Amino acid sequence: MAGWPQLGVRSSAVRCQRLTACIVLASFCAFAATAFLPADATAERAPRSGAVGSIHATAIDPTAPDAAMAARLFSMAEAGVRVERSPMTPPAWIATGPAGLLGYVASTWEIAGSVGYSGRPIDILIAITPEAKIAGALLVRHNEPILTLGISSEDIERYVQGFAGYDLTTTRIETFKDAAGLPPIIAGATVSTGVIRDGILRTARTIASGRRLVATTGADIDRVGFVPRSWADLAADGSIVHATMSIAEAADRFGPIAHPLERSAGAFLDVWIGLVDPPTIGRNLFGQQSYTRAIGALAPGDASLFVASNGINSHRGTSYRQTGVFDRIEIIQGARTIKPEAGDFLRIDKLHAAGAPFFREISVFRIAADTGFRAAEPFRVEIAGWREKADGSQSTIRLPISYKLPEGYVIEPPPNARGDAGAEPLWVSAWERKPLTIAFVVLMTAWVAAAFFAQEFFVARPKLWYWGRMGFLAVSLVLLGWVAKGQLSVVQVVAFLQALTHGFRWETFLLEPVVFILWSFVALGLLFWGRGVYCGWLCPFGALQELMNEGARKLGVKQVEVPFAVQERLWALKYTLFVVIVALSFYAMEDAIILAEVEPFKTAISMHFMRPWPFVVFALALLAAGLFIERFYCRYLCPLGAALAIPAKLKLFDWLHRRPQCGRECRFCETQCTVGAIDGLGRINPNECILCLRCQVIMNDEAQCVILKRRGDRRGAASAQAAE
Amino acid sequence: MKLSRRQFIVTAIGAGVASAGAALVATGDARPAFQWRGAALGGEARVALYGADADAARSALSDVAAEIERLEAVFSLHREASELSRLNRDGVLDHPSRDLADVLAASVAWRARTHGAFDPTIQPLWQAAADGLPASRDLIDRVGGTIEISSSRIGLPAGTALTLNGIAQGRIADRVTEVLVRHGFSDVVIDAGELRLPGKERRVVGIPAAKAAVSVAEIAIATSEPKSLVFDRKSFRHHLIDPRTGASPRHWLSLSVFAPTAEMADALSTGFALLPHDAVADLASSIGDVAVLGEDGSGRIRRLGNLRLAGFEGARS
Repeated sequence: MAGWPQLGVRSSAVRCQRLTACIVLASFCAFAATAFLPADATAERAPRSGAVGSIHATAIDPTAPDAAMAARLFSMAEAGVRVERSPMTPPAWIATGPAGLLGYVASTWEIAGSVGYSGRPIDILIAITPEAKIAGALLVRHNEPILTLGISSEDIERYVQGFAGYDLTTTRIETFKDAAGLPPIIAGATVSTGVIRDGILRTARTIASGRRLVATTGADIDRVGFVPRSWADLAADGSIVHATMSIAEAADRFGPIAHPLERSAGAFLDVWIGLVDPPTIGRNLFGQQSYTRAIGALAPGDASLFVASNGINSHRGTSYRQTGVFDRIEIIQGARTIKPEAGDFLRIDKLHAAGAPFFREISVFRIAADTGFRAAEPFRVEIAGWREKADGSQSTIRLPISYKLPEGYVIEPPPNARGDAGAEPLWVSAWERKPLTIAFVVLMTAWVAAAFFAQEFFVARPKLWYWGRMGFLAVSLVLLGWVAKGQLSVVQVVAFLQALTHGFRWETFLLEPVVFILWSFVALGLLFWGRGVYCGWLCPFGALQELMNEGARKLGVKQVEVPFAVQERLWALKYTLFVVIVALSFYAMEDAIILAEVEPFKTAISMHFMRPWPFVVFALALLAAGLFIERFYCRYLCPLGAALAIPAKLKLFDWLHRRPQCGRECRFCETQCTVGAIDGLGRINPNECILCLRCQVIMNDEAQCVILKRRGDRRGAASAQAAE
Repeated sequence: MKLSRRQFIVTAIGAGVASAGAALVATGDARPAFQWRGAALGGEARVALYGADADAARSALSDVAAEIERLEAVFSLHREASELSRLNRDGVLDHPSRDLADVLAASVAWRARTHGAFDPTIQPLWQAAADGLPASRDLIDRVGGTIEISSSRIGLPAGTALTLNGIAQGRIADRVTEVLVRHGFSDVVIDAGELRLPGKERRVVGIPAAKAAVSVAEIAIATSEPKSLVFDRKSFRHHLIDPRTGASPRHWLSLSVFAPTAEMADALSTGFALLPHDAVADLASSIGDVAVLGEDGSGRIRRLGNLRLAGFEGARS
């Protein structure tokens, strides 16, 4: 591999790392990512470039299958199975067994450049039989954060194996629908399974069409353009081609036959062939009328072959009248042998082209599209002749004529319409698939934004604020969390950081519309208000804790007061966790993901508590702690909260109001803050504040705010005095 | 037929490249070769091209692979959907391919010519031998039925099953040669169990059977050896089975047939291996364009037929 692109990506990766240090998550938003990701990095990540994993100096090679793997892929005993690398493109291995060719084995990483959620290669070996069926698939490399989604590696492996038996001759499938013959998408691992499915199918199709196991929608031919041409012109440019066999040559090739040919100077077979679909060939040969007749009978994709011959051997013979099949002509393309049938035959009596010679027989044969014949690709026609030998057996000779439609008649398909997976990007179907959910999540975020922009109106109405908030949290928990599975996770942060260094692709993140919308909003919200936009309003687990704590208070559960000094030191825990997880991810993604299990989100939200008991006990313990210390988890443990808190220092506006007296004359808010984010001096720590707006409500409530109360008292006293 | 030790190796030398050596297969050549590996009729197949540029080689190999694939779909007994498998299953096949009709017609002709020593209807006997079963009377009766062959229909009598493994490999070798010649590879060595050297330049070929090396051109060579596949070591029951008796005779230790086409060499090497040397001598001289070098059952080297084909200038038969 050339050194150039590697260097380019590495330097941009370093740049990215430096940038991430200061902007971290803010850059997730569209502006940041497009602005900071250098153009060369984006260009370099053209799908199949091997430079994707280039932060490591060496490129990652596809996993080469061994005999044991091949045996597993083709579900047979290992004995006698051999695998060898084939030099042809697309790259693949050829597997043979005791009974001969088993099929091809190909790597999704090598062929489709399959990159997972983490931006790292997913490599799946796929076995494809000569009949264009997927015999098996084997996951050989991945770094998917699937564990956080409550799905084990075995689930993914089972999913991958589920592709066995899929018939590649089936036409385009809708990527996200559970198409017939394909394993169902694993709920909760949409991205990983989507990427896997895409990779497997693209690779398998590439092999199937590249090795000509299936017919592809290849180049089309020009069926419109017309330029007048003479017979000689057509012969000169290869539009029609010629082959001949003299009687003498035929006699030699027949060998001893019962009635030897008379060795005269004439032709045994003198034949011209050509494809007449392009008007420049067909119309010139036959004239407008006959051409229209010949072409009018064709269905889309059919082709028509012109055969004209002189000589003592007829190319048509007579037996087709009885048997319905022309037995002397075979059209051979690749591994296909096509015999024209009587119904495909049109007799032409005279050629129209200037300078055309006389022919004893002129035929046009229709080659139906369902034979798999491709007009733009080379083929040969073999015309046979036979004579009886002395012993009654037949001696057969064949005259082959090779043909390739001249380039001028071939229209190359547009590059993106070619080949694989129906061309539509995977993420598009992900978005098309759930318009309602997407609309709902957009509405949720819009609602939060509106509430903050109309903050003054909102906080001036304590009842509206209280019930509005409780209602919103309930919706966050039930609809956004449990139903739409819109729970962000520190794993996504890590995946994003990894993607920045390993080759960022919007496509990967766009695969999960709900998560993508939430992150986009949170990225903006962080700049405007701070982490609280998410933590305090949209986080389903946060909502669960707050709602439970609210209930506990109503039932008179006594709250534990954490002294501020202790509180402040416990905060450090979550930052430590976050940093360790990020650091670990650069060492081993799997370990980082295991550590990220401190997040009870998957247990409580994505999986509805349907997990092995240790996870459930852990989640319940956190919730129980939350009954006594509100948002216990958010305050001290949440690594996602930590991740969001760090860039909160960047926030552009300070829309939370304080009074000069706060913290000096009155420390009521400090006691009321549900997460203890207000310090003894009355300052709100934006890293901890979840933007519940409680302090803002208090500040505007004469019944609660001491300052307002005092002012009211004074005013009351004054008016009382005035009244006297 | 489920077993085959046959190899199908094609070595093609691009036009204009000096002789790639005298060896049977010029795999020792240091020049980079373009290779295709796959399977033909259950055996390993290899096509190697020398002295070609990458594009020419790729396109030629791709066509060779397609051609083998196409013929596999006609002749292979390993594929349920092949023409031959369908014929065996249904007893009848409408509109057979030219290749099947031709090869079958040739097989029937060689059956008559070799007095039944070569017979495509041997499949039931062969299968029994491969499965370790004795050659029962019933099985022998199923061999030798009359096959109805026309260009539009092939029909088998009840109980008859065909194998063309004694001849189809030769046909494939001939067909592959045609493809390579079309791609400009005129100087080709094809090793498909039988050896085909269509080029005009003479090459030295080692013939183990005759313990000799011969210098030949424009020829196909097929070799039959009982020991290459033995079902039962004790009784030395091997793969060359006499269709008339079900026995595996020991007329020859090794036998190489020289003929103009691989198809013919293949069929005759199968048939001759079941006949004693004097019968082979008679047949070879009456057929004309065939030569035989072999080591008979007693270890004597026999040279029969038109020995000019085997590179013996001015030799008489």
